[in-house]
Amino acid sequence: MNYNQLSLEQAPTIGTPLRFFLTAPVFAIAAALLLLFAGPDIFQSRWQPETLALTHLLTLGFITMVMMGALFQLLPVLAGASIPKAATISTIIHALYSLGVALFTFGLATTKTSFIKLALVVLIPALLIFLIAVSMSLFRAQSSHASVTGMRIAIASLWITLALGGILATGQAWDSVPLLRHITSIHIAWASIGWVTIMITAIAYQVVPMFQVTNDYPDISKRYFSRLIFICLLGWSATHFFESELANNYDWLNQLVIFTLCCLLIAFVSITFHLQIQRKKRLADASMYFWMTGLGCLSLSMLLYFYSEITRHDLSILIAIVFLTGFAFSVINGMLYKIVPFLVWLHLHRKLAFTNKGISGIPTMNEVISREKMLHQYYLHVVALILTVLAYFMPAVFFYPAALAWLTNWSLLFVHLVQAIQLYKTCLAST
Amino acid sequence: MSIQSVMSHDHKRCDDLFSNAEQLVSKKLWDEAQLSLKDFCHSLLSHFEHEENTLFPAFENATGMQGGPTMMMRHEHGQMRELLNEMEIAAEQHNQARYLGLSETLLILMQQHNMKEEQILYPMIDKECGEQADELTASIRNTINSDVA
Repeated sequence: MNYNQLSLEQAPTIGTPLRFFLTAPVFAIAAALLLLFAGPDIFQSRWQPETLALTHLLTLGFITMVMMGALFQLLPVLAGASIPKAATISTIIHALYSLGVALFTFGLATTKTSFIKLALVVLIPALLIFLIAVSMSLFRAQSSHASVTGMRIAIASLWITLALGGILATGQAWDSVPLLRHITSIHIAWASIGWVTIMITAIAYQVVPMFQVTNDYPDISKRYFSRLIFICLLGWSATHFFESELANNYDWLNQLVIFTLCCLLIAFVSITFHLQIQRKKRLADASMYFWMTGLGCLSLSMLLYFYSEITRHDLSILIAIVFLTGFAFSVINGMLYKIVPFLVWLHLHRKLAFTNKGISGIPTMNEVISREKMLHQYYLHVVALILTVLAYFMPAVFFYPAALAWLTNWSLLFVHLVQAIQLYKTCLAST
Repeated sequence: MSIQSVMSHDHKRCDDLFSNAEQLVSKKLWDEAQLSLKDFCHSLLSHFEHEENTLFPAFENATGMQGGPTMMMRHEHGQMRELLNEMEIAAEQHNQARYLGLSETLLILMQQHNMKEEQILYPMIDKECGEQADELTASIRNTINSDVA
């Protein structure tokens, strides 16, 4: 067996993931500012320019941004496969991607197609380089763990999301290209369930037992879960793509697929809750609360979606609020609070352990970002989330408090991450 | 019994002991916490010794790889030993904040280390040295049995 490509190294350079982690809250802050400027009307329809811009600030600017950085960090550890020339590739991807997201969302919000055209020239290559690099790395992965299978499916979903998104954005930017609005729902499904949810579940198989010292997920769920969701998504896409041909005769098929999807995701949440309740590490922290809040919101968003499908109520904005900020943002925020302090410690250890100060001069994880600071931001996150749900029903009263709460919350996250990096630099400078 | 199953089982045992000590520190039950930490240190250090003195050399001999994954695993053992020392000092000084900061750091370091061993290195050792699995894991199984007893 050839072990030459095996990488059990601890991590790429600290800048590789951190540049993604630090940029993400900036886009979240931009999203909060957009909420404030756009006003309560932004919740009226998902097709409004500001709503489209807001969604992409959250999904591309924050969620995908962090997940990209995390993959550069986690692939060597989880899959035994690092991304070749990670430092150089990540710098290029980060620069192109950040510029692309900024131009794209600005173009969407202002309906200036020239910005969307310009954005696509940098955004699509950035995502393509990322996808090719990660796909090659996952293809070569040594580990046969369920996480790697889940990651492969999530990356395949991102390929599909990008293809559909590219078609939609091209239609939006160029008059000569038809805007195929009916594929929007399929694009959203692959992005939210295929890319975001499957990737988070794949990572959960590893990090829930790891961070919270729980038992492993049952084999059956690890083995079949991602594959079954992928099949559901294929079925769902087919029923939506051929919606007019199928008409009402096959409505039951669509509802069956949605029911199965909801059951699978709620089962995943239930298993995770069960493991967390029986965890051996009894000392809870903000990261665990973020996870639990996120998983609760995943279940809630699935129930809302199922309800909206059978009752024919359009709840898409409410589902988006609960899914994006309740589920994805919570889990990712919780992950950042474990990964960033650990990286600071790890890289300081590499550089300082052999100096005269030794290990005692290196701040521990809790000193990099204190438990109290993380908890305060968690409470603010929950307040912002509740206010936003209330704002959906009573925008006149709750919209601006909700937008301000998000602005404060994401600024606080940004400050905590910046302070962690400053501590890293101070420790290095003091030697 | 494969090397992977014996060693992974021992990781879980160490995790339990780690959590127990952390729980006692969080309640400031210092006498019990120090005893529990001692158990954890003993188990983790003997796990490292079995790897460094028996399993890794067997793998290195079978593959001829000296500076590969086993070198990185030894390096991480060194990092964990340093954290354990600091945790013992913090426990002696009844310094709860310092202890919990160190134990959180150790936990993540230990878990990502275990993950790499369980998913990549142990399967490789089983593949290269599987015929000697019983012989290689005999001493660690004895240690576990005597600790549990």
